[in-house]
Amino acid sequence: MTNHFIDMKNADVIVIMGSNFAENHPVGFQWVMEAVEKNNALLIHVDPRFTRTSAVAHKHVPMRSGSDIAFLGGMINHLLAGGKIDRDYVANYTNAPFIISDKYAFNEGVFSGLDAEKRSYNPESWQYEKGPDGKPKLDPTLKHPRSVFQLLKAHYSRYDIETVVKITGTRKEDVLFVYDAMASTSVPDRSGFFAYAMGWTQHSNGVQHIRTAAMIQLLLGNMGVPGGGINALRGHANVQGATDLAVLFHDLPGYLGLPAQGAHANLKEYLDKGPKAGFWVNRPAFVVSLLKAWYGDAARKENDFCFDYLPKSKGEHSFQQAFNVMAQGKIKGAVCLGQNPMGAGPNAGQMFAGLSKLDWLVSVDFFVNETAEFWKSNPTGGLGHKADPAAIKAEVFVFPAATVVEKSGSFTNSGRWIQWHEQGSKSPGDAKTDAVFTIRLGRELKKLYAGSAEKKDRPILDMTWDYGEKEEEIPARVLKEINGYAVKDVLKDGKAVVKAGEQLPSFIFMRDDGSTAGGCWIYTGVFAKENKAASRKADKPGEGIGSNLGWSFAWPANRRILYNRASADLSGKPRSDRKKVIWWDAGAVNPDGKKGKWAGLDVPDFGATMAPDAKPSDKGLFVGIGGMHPFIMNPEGRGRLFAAALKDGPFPEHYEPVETPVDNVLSKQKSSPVAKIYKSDKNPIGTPDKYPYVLTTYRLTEHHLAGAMTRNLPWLAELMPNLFFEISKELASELGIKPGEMCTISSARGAIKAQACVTDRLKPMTIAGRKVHEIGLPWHWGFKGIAVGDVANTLVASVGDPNVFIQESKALLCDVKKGG
Amino acid sequence: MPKLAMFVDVTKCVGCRACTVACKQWNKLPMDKTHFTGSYQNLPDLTPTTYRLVTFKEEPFGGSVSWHLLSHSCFHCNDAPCVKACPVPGAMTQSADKGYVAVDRKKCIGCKYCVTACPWGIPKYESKSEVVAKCTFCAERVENNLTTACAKSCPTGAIAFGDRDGLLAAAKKRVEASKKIFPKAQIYGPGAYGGKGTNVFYLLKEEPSFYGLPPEPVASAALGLWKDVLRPLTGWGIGATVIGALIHYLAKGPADYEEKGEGHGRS
Repeated sequence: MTNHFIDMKNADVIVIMGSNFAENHPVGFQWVMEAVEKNNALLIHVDPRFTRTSAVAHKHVPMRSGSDIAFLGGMINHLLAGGKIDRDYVANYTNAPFIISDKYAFNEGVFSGLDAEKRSYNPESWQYEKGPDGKPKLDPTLKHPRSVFQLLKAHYSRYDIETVVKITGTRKEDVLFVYDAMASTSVPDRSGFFAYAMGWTQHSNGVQHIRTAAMIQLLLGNMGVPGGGINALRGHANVQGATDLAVLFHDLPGYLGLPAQGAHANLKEYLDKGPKAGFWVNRPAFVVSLLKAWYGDAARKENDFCFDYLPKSKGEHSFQQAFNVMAQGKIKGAVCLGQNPMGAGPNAGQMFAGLSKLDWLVSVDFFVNETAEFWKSNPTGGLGHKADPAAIKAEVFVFPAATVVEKSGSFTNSGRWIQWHEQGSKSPGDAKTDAVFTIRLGRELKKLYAGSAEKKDRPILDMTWDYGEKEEEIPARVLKEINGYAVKDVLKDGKAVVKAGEQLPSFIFMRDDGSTAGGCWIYTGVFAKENKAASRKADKPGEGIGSNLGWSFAWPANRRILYNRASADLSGKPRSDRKKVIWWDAGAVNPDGKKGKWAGLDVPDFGATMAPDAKPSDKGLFVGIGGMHPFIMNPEGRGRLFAAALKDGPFPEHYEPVETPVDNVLSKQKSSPVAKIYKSDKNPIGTPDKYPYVLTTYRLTEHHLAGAMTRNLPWLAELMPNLFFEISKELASELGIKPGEMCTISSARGAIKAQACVTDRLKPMTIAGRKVHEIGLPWHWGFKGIAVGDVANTLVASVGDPNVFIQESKALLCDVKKGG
Repeated sequence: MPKLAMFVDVTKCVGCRACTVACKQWNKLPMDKTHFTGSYQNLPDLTPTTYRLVTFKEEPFGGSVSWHLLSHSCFHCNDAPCVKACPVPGAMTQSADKGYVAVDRKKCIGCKYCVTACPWGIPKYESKSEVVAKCTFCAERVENNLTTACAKSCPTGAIAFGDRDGLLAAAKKRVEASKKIFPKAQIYGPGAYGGKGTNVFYLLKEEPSFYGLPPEPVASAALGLWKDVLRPLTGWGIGATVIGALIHYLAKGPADYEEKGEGHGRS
């Protein structure tokens, strides 16, 4: 999230889209309810299904799954055409005035630079045009035909209201209701936010869904202000933490980026290829500190601080790709820690094919889950999912895990708040925490490799792994290491600012010379003198904007609202008294005797003493950033309406899902030309002649993810006992399906049984003149536990977004038949 | 007037059912076996082991649909019909200061008069233990200055627990604000029984009948007969079966939770 849960109370307009907020994040939803009750906020839910979120919203606006970019692109057009944008904000704080290369083009749904065969773009033509001084060219009037602003206008002029209605199936008046609601926040006195979750991400162009909303927020001046922003609702209590700490294939902790084979032969190449302006110029200090944290004394300047020890990416190693490769027999063993791929992984048949080829599999969980007993049920074994265990060689080891209440540690919530919790009770039997499991595993590996002289074994032998003898102290020790510490005295202007052995109070003290160590730079400050994650000094209810700076620690630097410099005008005054966050206090005297600093209701997301009229400098922490540039992580200091950073285009464009019942109304390019489609005999792609209905998967309040945690609990099993699917009364009547009746749902990948929930909460839609039915299917069930049912992911294809490879499980094709 | 109450604001309920789980957890109630029958609700009614239930009611509304979610349990009435109906001293009582209505399982003879008397059909008879069961207002918690488990767990503040007068004032404020969106919004409960009222009251979006609630809760006709005519004639500990049979005959007879639930008392 750019903002945080409590900040939601400050909003005037709330658009929940791509999320079932109330059902899946009920605790955070209290702040939405507070905005409605105390701030008179308008609450809109845009979703194919009428859910429990819609039930408490002022307005539910139905749309077809997979048409979000058309919906939001139409909003961009509506705002631009009607002049309903925050023009000062757009001109000063976004890259709207920047001129784009004359080689940039867009034609029939395809951007310049496409290699259709390789299904990838070369982004060379998507760059800023540069002047003789090597700096990007700007037109402050925004009139240049190749300015971002004019290109944006041209691109989205195609998204007129009639086209939007044709693609989304939403009524024109409903579309306009949402557009006008958000447009009302284009004045500095009002703000609104988008809240999204997997309904936006799980598409073959998921990242672009979020970008479209981010662009709208820039146009409306809603970034960096209370009640604004783009608020991702993470699907699990600590998904934000897992992402921050890079439990992903493509990154290193703190979003430093995994080095790639070929591109980064040594540390210098890896660092030199990083940004040359913006706050990311400090990346070398963060990278070296990370290497020092991981490899300790072994990491020295002479050996590139053990840069060679890091794994180098050879391309795509995503979750989906891993199971593809596994099915080819290239992976020998797997450890599933807090993971249940047989329930949660897209295309369960592919998951089964992968696991079947392993020599060994370790499953660490509270219960024996579907993955631990995958050999009992083959999703491609016909209805009933019969398997032949004798044909599977994998040996499975099951370890009992401790639950969250049986351990201390921190969660990082969607609002980036790192919050500590204490152990509530002891684990039964031999159940161990994930931390204990992992640290013992590391120790055993070190023992096994002890004495080896082979170079390839050095990363394990040199890895710092001293977390003490008391296992209950591990979480705090790990958080201290993540925070970072001074290895030697940290010097500034020749003086020691942090003494050797002390915890680092801030990442600005990190150095690239090996004098500091830290596991994740953005977390620095969480455990300096004390564990601030455990801090519980709340603001008085109703006072201020709900920053609660004394409650837990929000990364980075305890900032609660990112880009909050944008809440003030060029001169540093709040743009609105009602929406103020920080402002320039010219009279304040700093410890060094100099005058002027940013003051306010939050930690400034800016140079604390960088005056609004400061000229960009080519030295220091903020290279190239001037006093009026709020987006300090970008070299140009501005929010990007046009961005060359993504793999599927500088502007979000509507494409149909890989499986769709209709053609693309906007262009000849049906689905994304660069969407990832995995090649496997388990991954046929369906067509609407055989699979005529749109299928979307979702979650319920009563169960969690693949359900091992909840379908084994009697009270929750009671609330949602059986797998069901939602079907409109119209389609149920066409197919003769009665409420509660068992049916068969099939896709090109497989078939499952589920009971019918016949409802008015789903309606057939007219898409491009054609009637389209949509089915909703929760994906919590599996064959282990008290509440059992077929695995919904059996139906999902191995299709991914080209940037992050997340599965397209929110829009695919299926067929439904009575009986099962 | 008792001091404590619960206020359920239906406009804030998202139907997450944290309240029902917290209720089962605090009261150590076992799982009820359920099967999907076409609705999220799954359990049709309260049971002897489910004291709190969220009902899900769907209806077409202005080209769209409304989904009404109602978390309900015992109303803990003042001048409660169930207390009046109970023939055994101390088996069904109301706390004078706190306001909750409690069943003493040790004293309950399972006559089910309370089941018949309750306008909402809240107490449920359990044939296995031969006693009735219902929401306890978390008496053990409340007596120790804690909130009820359901209110404690409610993430959106739809169930509020506390000072009755304060909650009534809050309810009146909320109903005015809610009327802008839900013209039929009303407070339900405090006006019952000629103003004696209930200690659990609701802000409803619709007419009570929409949720299957009686607009004017009244005790069953048989109760009047029992209280005013029959009870004065009987001595405690005798004739419970006879009188039970008579009341059963006069009223329709209570619905048993289990289909073969027999035995209208132990005498």
